Amino acid sequence: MTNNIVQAQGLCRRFGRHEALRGLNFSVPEGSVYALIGANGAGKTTAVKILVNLIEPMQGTATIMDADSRTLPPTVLAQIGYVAENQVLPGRLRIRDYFDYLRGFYPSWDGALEASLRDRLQLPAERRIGALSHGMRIKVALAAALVYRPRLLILDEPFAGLDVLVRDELMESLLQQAGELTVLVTSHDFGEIEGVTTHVGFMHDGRMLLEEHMADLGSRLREVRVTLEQPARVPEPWPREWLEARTFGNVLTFIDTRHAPETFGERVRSVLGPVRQIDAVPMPLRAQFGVIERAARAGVTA
Amino acid sequence: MNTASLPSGRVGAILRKDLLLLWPLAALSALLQGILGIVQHHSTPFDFGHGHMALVALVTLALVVSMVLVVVIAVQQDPVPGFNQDWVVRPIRRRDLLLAKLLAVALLIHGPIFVVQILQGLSEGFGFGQILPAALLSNFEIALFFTLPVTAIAAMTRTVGEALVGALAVLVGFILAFLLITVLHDAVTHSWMLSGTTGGTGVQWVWQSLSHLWLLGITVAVLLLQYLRRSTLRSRVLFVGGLFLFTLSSFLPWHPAYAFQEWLGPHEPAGGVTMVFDTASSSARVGPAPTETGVFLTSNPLAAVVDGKGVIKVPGGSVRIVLPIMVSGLPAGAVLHGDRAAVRLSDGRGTIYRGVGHVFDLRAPSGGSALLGQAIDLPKAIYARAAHQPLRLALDYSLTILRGHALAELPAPGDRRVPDAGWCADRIDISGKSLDVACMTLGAEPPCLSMSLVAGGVRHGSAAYRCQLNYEPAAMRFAANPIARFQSRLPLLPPGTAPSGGALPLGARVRLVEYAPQAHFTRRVVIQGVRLADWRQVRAGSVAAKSASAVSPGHS
Repeated sequence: MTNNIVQAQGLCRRFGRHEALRGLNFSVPEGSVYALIGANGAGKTTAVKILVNLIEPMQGTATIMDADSRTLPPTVLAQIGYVAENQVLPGRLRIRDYFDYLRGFYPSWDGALEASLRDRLQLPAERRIGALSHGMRIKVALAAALVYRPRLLILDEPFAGLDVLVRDELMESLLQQAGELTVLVTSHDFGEIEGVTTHVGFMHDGRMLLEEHMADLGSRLREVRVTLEQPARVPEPWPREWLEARTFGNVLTFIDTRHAPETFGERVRSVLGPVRQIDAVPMPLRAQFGVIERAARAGVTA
Repeated sequence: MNTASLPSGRVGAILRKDLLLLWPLAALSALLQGILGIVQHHSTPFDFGHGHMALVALVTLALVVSMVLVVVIAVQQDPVPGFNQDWVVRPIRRRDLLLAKLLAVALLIHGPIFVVQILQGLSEGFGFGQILPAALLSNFEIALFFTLPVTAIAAMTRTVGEALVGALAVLVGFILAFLLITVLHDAVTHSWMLSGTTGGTGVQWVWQSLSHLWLLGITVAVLLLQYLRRSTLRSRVLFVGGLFLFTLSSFLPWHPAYAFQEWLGPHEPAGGVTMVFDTASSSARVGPAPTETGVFLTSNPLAAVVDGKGVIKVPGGSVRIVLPIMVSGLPAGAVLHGDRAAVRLSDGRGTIYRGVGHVFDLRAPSGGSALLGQAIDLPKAIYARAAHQPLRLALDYSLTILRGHALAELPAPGDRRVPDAGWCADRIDISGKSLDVACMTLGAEPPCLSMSLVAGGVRHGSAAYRCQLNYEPAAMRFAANPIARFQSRLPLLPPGTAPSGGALPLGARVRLVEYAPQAHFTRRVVIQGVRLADWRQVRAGSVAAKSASAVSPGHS
């Protein structure tokens, strides 16, 4: 049985008239790298902020390590790392003082790792945090989140606004500890997280559209290109699991959302008749997100 | 073991971090506090000169600004409002954070104040045991009215600018609310009193103490709500609403406050005092001698102004009537102080006016009776409507018997340490025509003192009174400045009546007398069929129609 380190049930949150979350459910298995994906305004950041008690839900509950997010005890917080794009760090402190200050709060603080991270991320000890660039501040936040070897690392759009070099440094630092921790990451940058993500949750309009193991999702979503003997058309009835059908001359393309390689050729022929060629290729995360998001907007389940 | 895993260690870590960031500003604030202590050190009880006062005011202003900055920045190192704070996701208990912030404020603000106050008291010649409680109470006062509210405002805002704008908005709102309530209060009671119903009276402390407790409650509630629940909107609503109710406290009714004072005491018997409307005595002198009246009424908002022709200038739109009230059973040597005279006028159809009459003091040196001219300023419209009708007039008096007891006699000129009054001194002023008498005391100054020049057991000239009646128990009276100075001036004998320009009689001494309440009680005088026109006062010392005798202007 999978042990979920994060569990959210029926989370609702409103800001004025805007409903940011409408009964959000999701769970993050321990040891996973869980990517929470959604369009702008889907409610990813609100969900993450509720998890670490920066915001309280109006309805529903969230637990981290079995502790209610609204009353996270220091023992649990000491095992959580949190890095956010707009995190407010104590700007008047120097980097060295910031680490000195935090050190006392974490029993698992790793001095050697601190030195290694500060060195690897080239953090200038004497600089005030408020005087750092956005990228440098994110690096400080990440180092200050990794250095006590947290059990859960929550990253909220960590790569937004960063240049390629900084992204690489952050990813390298993350990957060095990837085996030890569970990561919950929200990001628009699918390229950065695709290689390491094990689970993915797609959010739309404050709800979870689907959450799935990355390997399962990758194997069931296929971009299909069928070359027919005659000019292509979309026949009726059309299978509900085949989305975004398009025709170009003799070619018909669609997205198969329930791909089964063993029976797929037979299924295609039964729907389309004789075919000259069938190509079913895996989709990158970005494309998967696009399909799921467009389907959600059209009111279809991908 | 990691010390920060202990509560004290976590609080200490936050405190150390704040001190690390704030020490330059805190040092500047402490330096200003020290400078203020030095410039306030005077080595005599006498007031500072004007230039010195300006310097003190300037340093005080700079000190207040620096203290505000220290408090706001200390609190906002870890801001409470918002959704992105780093400290929330750290293993920091909220109560530890609150405690650390309060400790920072105590250490950076109250620490220097306390040390300077102790040093100042010692340097002025007070003992450590004397200055310690005064300094502690002074810091409580400063915390109540300054540091805790500023801490609460800082906890509800994110930046210094936001805090200053917020504080300014609250201040403006507070003033507007106060003025609005005053206007509404005036419309109901016909008494324009910015000081509220009990303001300027001896029982002002009752509602004031309650409002202070209320203010303390609001600030503590806001801090707890912010730090434990991080509920900024609710905190702001609570703070603003609470301050509005704080404003209302000035207009809480008189009677419960006075009833509480009566219950609290003192309770010396006063049953012999009677008051009756006495038309038969209206031709007699009304009221005591001017030199003995009005001595406790230093802040009487209804005080009359008399122009050069002796015509009473009553407040705009008012007509003054003066009613002869015979007061009997006055204890010898005591002063009867009228704390309040509630007036209710009614005709056959019901009440036509509710208001308050002038307050007064009556003294009967050998006991017995005295005639009081009870002045009432009526709105012109009411007077015009009802001046010639027979009316029922009810006067509800709240009264206090005050008795003076000699504190000490000072050599003139000279100085002396006086229990209950502190270090007192007197000297002939620079013009040579009067004697300046000053005292420097710990905590709040005595509420009511008289100072008079005596020689050979005989008083020379009139006494100088320094009275702001306050019936508050002495243990509860304290001020932001633990060392209070107060000063009065006694006229000397006219030139030629004494040696060396009439400066001082031979063997002259300054007698200090403190007045304290002995009993609080109420009396009611009901006058049936009174015609207001018969009792209208036109000139100082005269009453139209029936009461043609003298009425002292100082009586009002």
